[in-house]
Amino acid sequence: MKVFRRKWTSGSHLYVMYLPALILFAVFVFYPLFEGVQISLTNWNGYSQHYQYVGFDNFKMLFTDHKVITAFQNTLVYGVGSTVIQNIWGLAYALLLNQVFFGRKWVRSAVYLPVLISGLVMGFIWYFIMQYDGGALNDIMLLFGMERVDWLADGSRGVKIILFATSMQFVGQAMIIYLAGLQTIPKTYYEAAEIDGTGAWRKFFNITLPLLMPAIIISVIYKLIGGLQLFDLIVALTGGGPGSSTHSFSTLINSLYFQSQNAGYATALGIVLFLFILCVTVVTHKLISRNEVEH
Amino acid sequence: MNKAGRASLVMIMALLIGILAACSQTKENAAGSQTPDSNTPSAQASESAETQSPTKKEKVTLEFFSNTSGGTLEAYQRIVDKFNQENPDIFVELTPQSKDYEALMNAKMATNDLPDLWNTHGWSVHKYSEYLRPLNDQPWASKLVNEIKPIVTDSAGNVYVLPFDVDISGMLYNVKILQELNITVPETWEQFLAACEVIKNAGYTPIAIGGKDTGDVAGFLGRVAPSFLTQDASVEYKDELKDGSFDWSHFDEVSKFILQLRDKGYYNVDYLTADKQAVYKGFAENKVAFAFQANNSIFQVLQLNPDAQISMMRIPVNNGSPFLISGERDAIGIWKDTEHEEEALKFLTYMSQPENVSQIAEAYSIPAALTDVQVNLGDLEEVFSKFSDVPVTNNFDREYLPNGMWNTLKVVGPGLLSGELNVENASRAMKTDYDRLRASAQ
Repeated sequence: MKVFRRKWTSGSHLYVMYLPALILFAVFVFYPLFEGVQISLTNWNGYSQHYQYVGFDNFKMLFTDHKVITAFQNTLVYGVGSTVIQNIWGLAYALLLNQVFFGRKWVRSAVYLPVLISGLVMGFIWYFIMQYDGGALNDIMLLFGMERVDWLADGSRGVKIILFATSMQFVGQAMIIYLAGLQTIPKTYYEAAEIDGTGAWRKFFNITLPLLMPAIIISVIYKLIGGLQLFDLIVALTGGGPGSSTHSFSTLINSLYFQSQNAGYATALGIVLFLFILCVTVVTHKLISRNEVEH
Repeated sequence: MNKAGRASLVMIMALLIGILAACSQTKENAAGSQTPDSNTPSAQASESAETQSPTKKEKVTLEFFSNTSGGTLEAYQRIVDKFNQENPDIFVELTPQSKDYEALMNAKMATNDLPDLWNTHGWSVHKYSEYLRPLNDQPWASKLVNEIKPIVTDSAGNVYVLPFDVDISGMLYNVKILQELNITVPETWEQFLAACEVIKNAGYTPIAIGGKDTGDVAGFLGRVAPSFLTQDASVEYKDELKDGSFDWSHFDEVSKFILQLRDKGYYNVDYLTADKQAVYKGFAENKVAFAFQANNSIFQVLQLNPDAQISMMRIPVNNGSPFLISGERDAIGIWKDTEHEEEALKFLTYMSQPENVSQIAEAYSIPAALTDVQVNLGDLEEVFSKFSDVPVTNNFDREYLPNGMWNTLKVVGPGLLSGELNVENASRAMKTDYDRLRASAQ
């Protein structure tokens, strides 16, 4: 009893504080994941009380299904593409808006504002811009005497439009992360560099970028996960079409699970997506954190 | 144990008790907490009734999930509000879930946690009967019209829903354009193709498709497929489709026809990306001649242009008689495990009153499913009476395909139109899902 009391009072009771979080994590993450693995090995249709185990058939089918291959390619484009665009653009915005000028707060708000709009609403807004009959872009083209274009009819163009739309919507998030990062860099470094006569580019590459690395890691991983999971914007803008040419993994999983009633197959795809995001995130973190600098 | 340790233990216990208490709330408690919007007439009426009553009776809330939208949903809402007003002890909570309704119901069936009442959207027998209370004992059950009786009755003779209307539809055509171009309503595909050519040359769009809505393309396939596979006198595969021995290479003909229409340029330019609203607009502005859609589109078109002349025609067939498609449309069933069966039956009896049934049927411009109900179908009255003796078949997917293949049509149709699937791949995709879903159902 004395031993227990000594241990308890020595601060180990704080471990008990983990318990609620652990319970919630187990109930809402581990249990569904375990269930998901089970479902992925069945031919369950998503609602019936009856199903059969089919082994790894669902996983084998994934590698020959053209819809999955297209969705995989698109997911990479949405994930990597939007990460690159948002981080470069967001950093540029942050560098600009870190300067003092009139209306700076307004510009910051304007850049960040689209983040607050739901992905579905943003998807519909872009649809109304891009649609063939009555779309804003085509109306402008008609004003200039040009022919209307069915912008979303071509799958590869649809992917680019989705990439652009999601990048523009969430660039404000990257900007905020970089602004916060920039404000942690001591001004003395820049002052010292100026005394030494260092140019702007040199200051950026030798001071700003290395000291901004923690913010870059957070932003890249955050954007990568968001891009790889892109869902609502696609649903509203193209519905994954034409055909299945603009599907991401997430929208394809939704379509397979709830529309095609192929829950086993959809869950197998979900597990592959989970493992894929896990690998990409870990590798990205390792690669970027090598360049981290302490100050 | 020191103070900090005791405090942390108390906090954990409180949290766990809180979680358990929240999880163990009974349905009545949960329902009781859902108070009606105080602005609605029903809520105001029920509030005043409660304040006047000396012995306050606990109000029962009935969850009613609906897949309807537009005019039909408005009709449901009007009736539900009136019922709530007249029955202060019951509050029917109408929850519209038009977009992901089927997914939601699938999830609810999987967990056996269903609403008290719900719309069965054509699947009362083949999908939901396992979860529904048989309703043969209800006073309105003997009044079902002959066109709906076999569709909503299972092999044991049980009826599980109160049907409001009979979903009779064919294709839509623009009366004005056909009259202007002196075209008689086509009865064979050959005549249809000839009509499309004339219409196209006159500068109109022969066929409008809202391809962004994959359901629209599935409806197109679902109308063309029976014409080639089950209604054509020279090639009839009804038995094979039902017993699982159908050779899916015959589906090639359906795909080829759809691609033929595309290659001849008969579809609207934006057939892959237009939404349904664009189709309605095309009809309202007299730019479009045909659409493979149900009659509720007439209501939508007339809202955009009350002077639009749009009517229903039979689906052409190469050999034999053009036909119409009939089926269950608006119908409500009661969950067999509901804790409020008495109240749910009371609501259903209220819904079965002729004036309520006619409101629902009129919203979709189709005939009523009960014998003592008169429906004002406007200009379509004449069309329905003209076609009262024509061949009628149930919806292709509901009659001949296993449950779930509507969604296959939603994938195969757009796949074909976009060029993602060729004719052979489309048939293969149909066969794969047909075999999988048949096996799953058995």
